Amino acid sequence: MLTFEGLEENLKFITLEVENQTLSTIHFMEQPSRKLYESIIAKDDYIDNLKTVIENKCFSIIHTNSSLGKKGINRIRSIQTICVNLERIADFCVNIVRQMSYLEDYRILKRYEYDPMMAEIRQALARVLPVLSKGDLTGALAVCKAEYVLDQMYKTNFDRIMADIQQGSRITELITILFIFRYIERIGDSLLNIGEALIFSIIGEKIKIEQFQALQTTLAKSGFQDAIGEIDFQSIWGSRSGCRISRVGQKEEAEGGYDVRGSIFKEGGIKKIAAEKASLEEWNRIYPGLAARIYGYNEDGENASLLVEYLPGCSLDEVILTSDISFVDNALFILQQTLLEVWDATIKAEPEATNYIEQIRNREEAILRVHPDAFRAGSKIGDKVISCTQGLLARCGEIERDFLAPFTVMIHGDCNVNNILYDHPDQRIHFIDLHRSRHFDYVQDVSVFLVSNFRMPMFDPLLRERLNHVILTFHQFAAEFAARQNDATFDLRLAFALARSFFTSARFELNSEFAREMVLRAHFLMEKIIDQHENPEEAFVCPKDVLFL
Amino acid sequence: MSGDQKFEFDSLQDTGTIQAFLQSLIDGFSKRKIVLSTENEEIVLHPDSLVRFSVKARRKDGLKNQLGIKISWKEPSIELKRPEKNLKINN
Repeated sequence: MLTFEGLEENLKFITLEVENQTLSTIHFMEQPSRKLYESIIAKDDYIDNLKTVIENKCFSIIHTNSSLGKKGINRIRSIQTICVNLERIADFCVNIVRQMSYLEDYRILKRYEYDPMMAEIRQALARVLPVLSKGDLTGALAVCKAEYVLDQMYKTNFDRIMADIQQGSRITELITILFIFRYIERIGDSLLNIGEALIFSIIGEKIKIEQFQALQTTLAKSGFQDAIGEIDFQSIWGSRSGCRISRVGQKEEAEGGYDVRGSIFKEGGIKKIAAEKASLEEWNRIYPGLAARIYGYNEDGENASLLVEYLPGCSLDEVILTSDISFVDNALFILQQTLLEVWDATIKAEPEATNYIEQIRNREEAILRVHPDAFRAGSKIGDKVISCTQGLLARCGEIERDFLAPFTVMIHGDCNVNNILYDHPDQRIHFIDLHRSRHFDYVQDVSVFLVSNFRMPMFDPLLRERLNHVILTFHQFAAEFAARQNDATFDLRLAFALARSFFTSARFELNSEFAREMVLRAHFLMEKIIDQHENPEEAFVCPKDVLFL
Repeated sequence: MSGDQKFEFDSLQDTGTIQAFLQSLIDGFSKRKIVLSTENEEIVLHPDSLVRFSVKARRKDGLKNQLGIKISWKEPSIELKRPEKNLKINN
């Protein structure tokens, strides 16, 4: 186990001091005394200083030691979080002790069950150092669990105190006691932070304890009761960083169907997770192998969790930015072939209305929150009238109602470059994040894909050239498909969809100059749509220049 | 491609003569070619892609007036060729 001499010593000290402080607090609650009070206050200053020393060391090690590695950095980050929270626990102890002085008769506190709560705290604190030194995941989870237990106990005591307050006597003292229990409960919150920091130091990923519980349930339902310790968390939390394609790709076959290690766990609101599940099932029916297989699903109140196959491959943005150009072209070719097959297989020759302007409207607030000046006011230069953004949106919204997409296909729904994986050894494309999949105008996917390349904040000319190359190639592919389908309004719909993609992408871009580029492009496209509205819809030519930076 | 090129011009005009300059720019945009030259140097601009157009006007104390017109664009950097690794054939 990696350790940092000196720093680990300091951590040991602060942990022991906080354990002692907790014990002194318990003694004080039993039998308050002036001497003990002073000693607790004095110790608090010492703990405070110790925390500063540890924090300084943590930052200085990270700053000066360039050979630390990810594991080393994770450990230091955990130590820093642990020490901050230990110090906070010591502060809560002082708060409890101070509150005690407001009690006319300290023995009234004994009516309520603070003892088991304090015992739980001591038990959790005693685990911290052994868990950290042994990298014991179960122990780390036990530290997290203390918060849950403390919450339950707090609730019981809270209800009792409230009931007693209702009786109407000794109200001031009861409120003081309520405060004391509240501080004890908050120690639980700090313990949870410590537990999560311990998990982080062990598995190297930030994870919330509720997710862990949901994961356990989902695994159990899928028949992997004891699997929790066996899992490769790197794959569960979906980090694909460091993904590189080698010329000679190696393929590892999982034995016996599927491998729980190669799976992704998702947990969240029931609506989103259920939508994702339904869409994965649909995709597996339409085009097996394109989307992840489902291993397990579990609903729990308002939340649901899903265990799905971990698809191999690198996200397409990574391929575009880091691979040899011949790989990029190959990945693009496979993507195009895959899309053609999907589109051909799912095409429904029923015209459908599009809603690109409505999609901008739905994100209006989110855009303005990040870029308050994204919407312009109307103005005039001489006699030339310049429409305000709202005016452009309203007019384009009307125009959009005048035509229909000639057919629909099953679309990805969020066809961003980083939601597409390229599996080089298998020469396949996979789709991820499919909760917005539906039958709709394919131009939506085309536009999202194009703008997701454009909006990558890469300004190096060589990288930009790559992005432009991808954009150009993909645009050509889409235009050819449109021509084959006799899709006469492709260009017009593309202008709408691009206006939508550019406008709504601004909310993800904090670089205000780059965001402005996108917002201006959206305005330009809407103006073009309005300018050419009198001409037949088929005659509209979408200005391709907007796609390139 | 050489380094930076620059052209500067500062003058006094009246509302009649300034129209000739603005008209010359209008003609340049329509031909997608604006040539600016001095005795020693010449800059040829080709505004044939998207252009950014900003206007700023200011009136200070009712006396000093300023109208700034800025038109900028990027040369279409996309040669729209395959990036990297151009094949070279030598005799």
